[in-house]
Amino acid sequence: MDFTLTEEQSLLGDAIDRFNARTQDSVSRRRRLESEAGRLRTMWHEVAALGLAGLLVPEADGGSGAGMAEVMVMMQAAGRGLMVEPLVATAVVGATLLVADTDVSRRTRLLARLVAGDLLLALAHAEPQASASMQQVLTEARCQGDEYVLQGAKSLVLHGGEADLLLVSARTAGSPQDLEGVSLFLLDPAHPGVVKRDYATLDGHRACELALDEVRVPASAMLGRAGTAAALIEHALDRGSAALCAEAVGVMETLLAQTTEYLRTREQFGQAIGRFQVLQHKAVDMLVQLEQSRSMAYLASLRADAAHREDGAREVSAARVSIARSARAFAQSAIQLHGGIGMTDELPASHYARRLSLLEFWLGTREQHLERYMHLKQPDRVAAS
Amino acid sequence: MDLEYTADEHAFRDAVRDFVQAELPQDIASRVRDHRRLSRDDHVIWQDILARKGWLTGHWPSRFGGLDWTPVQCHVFDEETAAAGAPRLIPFGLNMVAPVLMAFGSPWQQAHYLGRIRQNLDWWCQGYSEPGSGSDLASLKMSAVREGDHYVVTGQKTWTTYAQHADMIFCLVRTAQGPRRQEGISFLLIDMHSAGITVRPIILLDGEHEVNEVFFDAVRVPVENLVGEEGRGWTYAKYLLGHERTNIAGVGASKREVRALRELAAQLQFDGRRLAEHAPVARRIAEIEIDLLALEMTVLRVLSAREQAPGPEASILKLRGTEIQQAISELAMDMAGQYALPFVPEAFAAGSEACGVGPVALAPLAARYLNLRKVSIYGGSNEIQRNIIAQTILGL
Repeated sequence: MDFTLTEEQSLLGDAIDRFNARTQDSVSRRRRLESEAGRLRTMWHEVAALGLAGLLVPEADGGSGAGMAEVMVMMQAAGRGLMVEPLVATAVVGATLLVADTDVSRRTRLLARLVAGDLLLALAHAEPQASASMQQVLTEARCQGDEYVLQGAKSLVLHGGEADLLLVSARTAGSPQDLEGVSLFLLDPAHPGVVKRDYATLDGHRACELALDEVRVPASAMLGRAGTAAALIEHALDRGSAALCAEAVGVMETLLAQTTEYLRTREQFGQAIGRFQVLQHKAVDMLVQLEQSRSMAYLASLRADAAHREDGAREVSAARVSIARSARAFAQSAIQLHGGIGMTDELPASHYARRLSLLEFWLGTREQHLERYMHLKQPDRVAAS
Repeated sequence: MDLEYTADEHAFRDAVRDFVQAELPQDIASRVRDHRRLSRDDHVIWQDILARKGWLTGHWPSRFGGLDWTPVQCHVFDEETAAAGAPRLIPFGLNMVAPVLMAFGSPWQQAHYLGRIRQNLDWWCQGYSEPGSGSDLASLKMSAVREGDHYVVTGQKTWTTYAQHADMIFCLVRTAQGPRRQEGISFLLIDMHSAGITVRPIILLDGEHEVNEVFFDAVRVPVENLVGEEGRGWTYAKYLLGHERTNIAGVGASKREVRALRELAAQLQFDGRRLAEHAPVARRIAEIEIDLLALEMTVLRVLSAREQAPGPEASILKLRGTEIQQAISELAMDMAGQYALPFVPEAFAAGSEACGVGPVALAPLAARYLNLRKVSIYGGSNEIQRNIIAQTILGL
């Protein structure tokens, strides 16, 4: 039982904080948000130079060979600085999928580009038809000779618009809810039949809707064996969820600091409003929510790679639910304590509150994670030990 | 970073589990699990069993006869004993006055009182609150006037938990009046069997007799029972509070209670289906379980980060721990439904199967809900905890 960071892990967090202090001021962030997706790319090379793009890539493949503890450190710092770079899509979820590629020469080639910051990835898994399960796949991949024909639609593809390579889940067998029969395809976004609609999301990130109409890819475009991708996708999404948990903690850290600073400096009735007990207690509840979330981010990060996947999955979903509930209340309080100015787009705190309010809808919503938590059997780890 | 228990910790858990299974009297365990009333003897018998093994004070430093348990071992011990239905350890001696004596007590006090606590010979209670001094504790008035080698103590304490059972009480008393009211407070150990002490029960809204008023009428207390220096009692009291609030998280007992909720939901029928199959109930149980997991992780974080007594972050544990205890008891009462209503005093009595109305397991649940309103009031009310956090952590 050890919750301390190594010196290397602390240095990683410091380096990202310094990078953000230099690059992520609200003016330049606004400029990037308003720019075409391509502007992200210049910044992504600097992110890659910090070792972040290849954080989860093994050292033998040129990456940092780090694990989920480092991802937690990275994402907390990303949250503190409200980074808009596609860390979750590319460095966490995308990297996890590519590292599992069994085609050795392709894996080597793609990982080298990933580490260098020359490859942005996006997992296209969620679909327009909502379901309680995060596993439902309606998109089909029909086998025709040595080709597959993809037909279907994907929704809310995180950073899908600017991705160089899409990782698309599609059903090669079975019915929509089956775990068996889901396959994963590497897809060039410029491929004929692929129609993307790229858009901004309220929380400062980007996503796209993806229509796949008679998209013909060679059988070799498949990553791994046919029909067996569900577990890999689930693992990648759990790592992504753990990353979001850590990011929420970082967002809360900055937002709490901004809020308490405001309480100390804003004066009404002849005194700092932070002297009023009713406001103090609201701020304290924010701190309690932050500390509960920090605990759950640890849990999610360290359990996302659990040897017994079911145990880990249950705890990752518990963390998502817990942090979603805390984040919702936390963001409400942050806005309320700032009063009118908290409502303005001009105030950096409102951007943090917005991210925090919407983060729970990525990679499985709170409701989906609660369903999953309740569905997975409680492991008696104590008894098993 | 590592969340796994070590092999030694697993072995320790097994040893605790085996011991509890072999030694915890089953009648006591079933009373705890069924939320029945516990007698003084129930507590004393269990604490004697632990004392003989040395585990009553396993968390103490070895120089005071403890076993130097790590914070993680303490957590495991709490979890295993609570899971088995052991009564909670009465904390006033073990975890409250003992740390103060270790830090500030005289060699005689350490040898005498710590030795007796270790052997479970004295039942301690806490004399802090007074009728006019609750949250504003520093306004306390009970006076101690030095006369030769005695203090003469006059005044009243209240909300004194289990004073009716106690052999000893540690008190905050006023030894001086001055501009800084905290500086006139001293920390005194008083024999509850002294002449001039009267204990009057206070019956709580659930019918329980847990707390009391304690009246002191010119009670003579030998000066060797003053802890540390005269006028430094407030410092010692603050030191004690940090210890009190960590224990107050109550993770082990809450885990047991959540398991009980699950069992209850599996037994009870509503609309022809098991209650557990009703989504609103299943959801509330899951949400409480998740809150408890977050609290447990926070407790482990706080415990593993510190060798010393925890600071203001202990207030966070008190807040969340008590909120969760209350949420569990609230859901249990809701699950009882209409059978929350009957008040059948015999249903609380030890070993009674009498109930009369509704399933026997449901009879104590509403009373327990009412009883647990206390946890957000005692040990420094949750509002006081928020004041502490606002000032010391947030700097407001």
